[in-house]
Amino acid sequence: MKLKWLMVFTFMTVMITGCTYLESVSLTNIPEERSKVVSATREKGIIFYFNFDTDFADELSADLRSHCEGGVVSGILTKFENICYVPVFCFYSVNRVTATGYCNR
Amino acid sequence: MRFWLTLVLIMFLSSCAYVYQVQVGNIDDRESFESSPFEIKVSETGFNLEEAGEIEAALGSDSGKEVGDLLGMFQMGPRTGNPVYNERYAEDLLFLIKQKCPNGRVSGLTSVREQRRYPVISGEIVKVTGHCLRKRSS
Repeated sequence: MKLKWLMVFTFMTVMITGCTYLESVSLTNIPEERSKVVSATREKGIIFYFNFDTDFADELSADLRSHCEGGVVSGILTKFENICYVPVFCFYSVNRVTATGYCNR
Repeated sequence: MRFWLTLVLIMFLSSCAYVYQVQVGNIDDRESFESSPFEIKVSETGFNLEEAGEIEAALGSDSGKEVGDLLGMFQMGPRTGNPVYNERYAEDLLFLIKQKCPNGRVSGLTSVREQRRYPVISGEIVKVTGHCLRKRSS
């Protein structure tokens, strides 16, 4: 009985846990005024490496702009990460790109 | 027979897309500027020697794998994607951006380094999108 639960626990651990890989980071010039922080995230789920386009990141800049209408966003930290939800085969993974910057109006 | 032919065609014609890097530049949304979007893509064919060697080995010859291993010794260091023949394929980007926005300011420049992967070969792509800002005429 204990062995059965141990196997279930091990299986659940393998299936639920995720491994995160940081693919790239970039930073632009940082402004003097840093009171208002704006952020935008775009992501795409991929089943077993079958991914046929990379359009998910295209609207990131527009998202950030919509959070700072009529202003300037600078000091943007862009982070691109890959999260593998079933680490053994990376059966389901998520490509996530996050941009955070300072809005000045 | 038809099943295998279809399978082989699907394998060779479909491509998987990989993203290596995403970068977003400063964004200017002030009302004094009029903005127009643009997109630029540059690409070069990459070649996966390791995969070519594996295919050749599967067909019964080891020479391809040996050549791949030998060349692999000279291609060290960090990289994204497969080796390409023309390493300067992305150098024209500045010129192309200038062409798209000759007299204005460039804002929200987003650059994506991506790869389209096919068996043995790949498309090594750099995609740049942004907005060209021009002063509004009052």
